[in-house]
Amino acid sequence: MSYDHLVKSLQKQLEDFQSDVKEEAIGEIIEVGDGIAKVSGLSDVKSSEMLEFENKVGEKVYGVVLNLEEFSIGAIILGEYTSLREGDKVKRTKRILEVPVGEAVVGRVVNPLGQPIDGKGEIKSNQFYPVEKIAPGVITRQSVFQPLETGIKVIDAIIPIGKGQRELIIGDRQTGKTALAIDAIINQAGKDVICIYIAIGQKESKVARIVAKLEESGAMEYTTVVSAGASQSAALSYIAPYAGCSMGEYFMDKGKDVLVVYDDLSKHAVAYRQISLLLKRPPGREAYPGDVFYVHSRLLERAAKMSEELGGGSLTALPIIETQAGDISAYIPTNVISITDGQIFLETDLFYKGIRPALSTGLSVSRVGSAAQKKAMKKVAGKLKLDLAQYRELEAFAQFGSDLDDATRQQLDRGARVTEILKQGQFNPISQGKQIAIIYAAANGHLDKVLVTSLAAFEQKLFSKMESEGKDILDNIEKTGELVEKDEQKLKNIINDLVELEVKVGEDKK
Amino acid sequence: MKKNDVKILASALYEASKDKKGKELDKVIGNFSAYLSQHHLVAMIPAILVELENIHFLKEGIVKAYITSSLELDKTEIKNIVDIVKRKIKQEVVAKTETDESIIGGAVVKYKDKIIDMSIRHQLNNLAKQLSN
Repeated sequence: MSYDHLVKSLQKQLEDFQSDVKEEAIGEIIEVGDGIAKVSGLSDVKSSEMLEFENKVGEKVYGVVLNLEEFSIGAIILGEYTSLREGDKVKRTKRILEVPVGEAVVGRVVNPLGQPIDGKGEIKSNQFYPVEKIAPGVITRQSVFQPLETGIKVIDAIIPIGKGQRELIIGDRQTGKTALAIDAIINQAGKDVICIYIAIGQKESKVARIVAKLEESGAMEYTTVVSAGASQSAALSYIAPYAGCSMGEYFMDKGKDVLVVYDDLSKHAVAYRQISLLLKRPPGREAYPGDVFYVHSRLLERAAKMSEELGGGSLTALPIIETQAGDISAYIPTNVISITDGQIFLETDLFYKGIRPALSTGLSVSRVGSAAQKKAMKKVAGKLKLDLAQYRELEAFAQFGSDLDDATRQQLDRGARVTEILKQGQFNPISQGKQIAIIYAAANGHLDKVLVTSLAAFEQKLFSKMESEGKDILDNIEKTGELVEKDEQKLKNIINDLVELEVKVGEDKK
Repeated sequence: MKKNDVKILASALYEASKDKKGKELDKVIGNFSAYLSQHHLVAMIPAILVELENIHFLKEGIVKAYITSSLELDKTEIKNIVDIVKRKIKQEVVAKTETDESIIGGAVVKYKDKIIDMSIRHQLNNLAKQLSN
């Protein structure tokens, strides 16, 4: 490169440089610490506006205004705050906090500001959505009517989830809450559903494990992971679910279906409590601030099934709440239970009994999902819930003695079998057709002769037989969602053949 | 709120000494000094004086403009700047000057929570930013 060329290119660059001198609004940090800053000046700043903090070295950090007071404003700092000092400059940006959205974020792991943390390079998106958005109103919605298949037998059969529904997953630590949500994400493969997994205050190792699992099963292709790690500031944990929700809303507005998992909202409430107390907002019950209900309700209201005129997109929310010692009547669990359209309650006792997913059928409900269930599933699963309820009642009796009458014994046997077939391994989602086949067999008493211990093996045999001989039944269910008379008869024959074989093998062994 | 806050003390002194002259004013000042020494608050006097000035300017509708320059400015230069600010905010303006060599040249004017940065340092920073893009 010649000297002349260098000078020319420099000249060219300098040509369009304008020394713009303009009036700027600035404030000063009065107090800073724990991710919170008190700022003087900036008298015309708006609530939840983005601020630009500049430290002595000239590095910039962003913040968000939360408190507007008489002589100062309170802001949360999104990022490294240890380099900020009292007296540092604060500038207005006149922008509300926003995150990049669009196809570019799909398949990526990002922080709550939409910056990549997976080392796969910059996210090139020219579209941004504000983090806080008002939920869709009444006339823009329609009621939930399509199923969101989780691939988990017990959920799809007993507490179905519809597209646009908010279904809470609640339970103690180590009961498989996250596993359930991850299974639901994995099952969306090929179903044209965009998934967003938001890890709030989770261990980085856990997030890494989940991302690896999603990549392994190919689910990362349609999934975005938003992670605010446990080591990052509470401010990031606080905005993470809103940021993730905005990324989902973009696709909902485009008419697509979205599944958002908030893992978990109890940690989100704790982060918000920390911020509120540091901002000197008065504490209420369990030291949570007065607006902790609104924090969750405005987030979960953003889940919706949009009307056909607006594209018919949907955003399904699966918030997760961790309870302490099974206490679902604590403050945050009751709040979120009352906001959502039902809950999936996971119990430690069931988990250690080997019933996994450890779903408590008595305490779990889905308030709108049954409208969304496939007709075929509704037909076969109708009896299931009753069978299980009666079984639970009788189970206690059965502990005492063997002299039970036939009807009771039969009910107990049926219940034990239904419970057994509803067990399911992790990362092993099952298609609706196959689910219907096995549930049909159990609910109609076809399995009563098969030993409980050999049911798992029987299930595998049934599934492989369905794939060969019963392919058309599976296809029909997938296409029409119904189990017609002809198919039902055929299914019954397949099951009976298998049962006979199973019984014979059992007798031979004896 | 704390009883012996700088702001509260300053505004108390301001209210008490307003429209007072001669002996009356001396009495107020005397009482105030006695209160401060009784409550071991003498160390707060510089802060109270600063606050007193702020209150005075606020009540009279006068705005302070801080002018930072690399070299000492002469009176006409200061007046020019003050006039510009006056026109902008339509209030009385009092100038406070200071020098700071690190801004290289030009001046930085600060008033209320606004800043007009006309310093060479700022311009160079902007230029550096544009060239690095």
